[in-house]
Amino acid sequence: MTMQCEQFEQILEQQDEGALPKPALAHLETCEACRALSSDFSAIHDMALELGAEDVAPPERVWIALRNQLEAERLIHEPQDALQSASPAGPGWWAVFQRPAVAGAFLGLVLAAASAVGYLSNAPQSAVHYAQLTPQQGTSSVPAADSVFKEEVLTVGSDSIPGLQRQDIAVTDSIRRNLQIVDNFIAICEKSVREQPDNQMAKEYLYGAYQQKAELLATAMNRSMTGGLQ
Amino acid sequence: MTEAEAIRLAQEGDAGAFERIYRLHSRRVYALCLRMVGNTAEAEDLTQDAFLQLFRKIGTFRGESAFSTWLHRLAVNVVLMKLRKKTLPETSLEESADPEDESTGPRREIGVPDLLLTGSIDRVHLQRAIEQLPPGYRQVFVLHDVQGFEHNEIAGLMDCSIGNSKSQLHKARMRLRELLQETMRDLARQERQAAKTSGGS
Repeated sequence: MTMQCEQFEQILEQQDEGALPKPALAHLETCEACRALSSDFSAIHDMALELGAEDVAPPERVWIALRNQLEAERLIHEPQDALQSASPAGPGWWAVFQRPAVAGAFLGLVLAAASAVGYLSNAPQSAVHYAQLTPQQGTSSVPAADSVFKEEVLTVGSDSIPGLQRQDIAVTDSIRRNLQIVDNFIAICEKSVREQPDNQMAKEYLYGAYQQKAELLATAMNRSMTGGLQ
Repeated sequence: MTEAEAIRLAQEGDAGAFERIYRLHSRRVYALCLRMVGNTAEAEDLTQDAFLQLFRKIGTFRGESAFSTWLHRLAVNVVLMKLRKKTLPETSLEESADPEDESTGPRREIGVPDLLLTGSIDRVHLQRAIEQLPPGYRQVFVLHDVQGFEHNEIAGLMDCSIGNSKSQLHKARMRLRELLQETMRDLARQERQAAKTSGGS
């Protein structure tokens, strides 16, 4: 008994992988409609496989939302190394200075140390009249304390540090290079703050850059005081 | 960072490792979700849910199967669970998924010459046709023909029989065939009209 089209279709439905049974193959040889059906199913299947191989990138907001949720559930944490790195250009190096109390204490320590060696009296453009230091018109809203710090510290180059020039040339050059790097970074951050005065992150970066310059200067002064023994 | 290292670090909660795993697998997971639900907003939510579940459970991954397989199954489960909660009648495989279809599925008129699809359809046409499938048909088709799941796996995922999975797949293919043939007829009609227009000008 020859196979009918409905029977062939039932076999096609139940067939998963592999070749069709002989009666079905025999039916295909005589039935153009079922041949077309079988051929179309193969074309659809093959095209679907190609679709499956395609990837579609989700929007970045998916990752951002996911990350926020993971952090909220405390499932993730930053590697410890990232928090402790001290690269001048990296955003994470100043993380330890994020607490205003720590930053302020460090600032005070640096200024106190500078005063002890007469640094302030030797520094070019040393303006000790803090009341005169106000943000200039048309510039961004840099906090007043930072303006003071900026005036006292940022105008200082390594040449102004007494005793530093007597140190090992390699050390001096290294400190000068690091100061230059930090100064460049400060310039970039200041520009960001001027252009985006409401950007809190830009202000934090700038504040961190100020802190690092203070740290470098403190290191340099320390070496000059101790004769480079530390 | 290799995937194995990323998995180990992710099991310790390392944020960079989580991101690495996400970047490696998000495209495929998103594509799966998009094809199964048919809209981007829902696909984005489901992708996020799938990875959230993954990262919550990553500590239980022991490496018995490939990580991508494990993640894939998890993503499919997330999608299906969401669809079950949202629209149960539409996703039931025990009844006709097309409310307008009074029969058990698309009918084939015996004896009517068919337009051959081989060489005529492309991925765009097929993707559009898939989006027009009723949800139940679409899920089985995407899982089997697009994603490569076996019928016994689909039956387990969708809580139905293997026979039912095969039946739904067959109906999905029949419906897709109808849709694609309509598309081909429309394209042919447009070409004829364009030819007439350019010939008459």
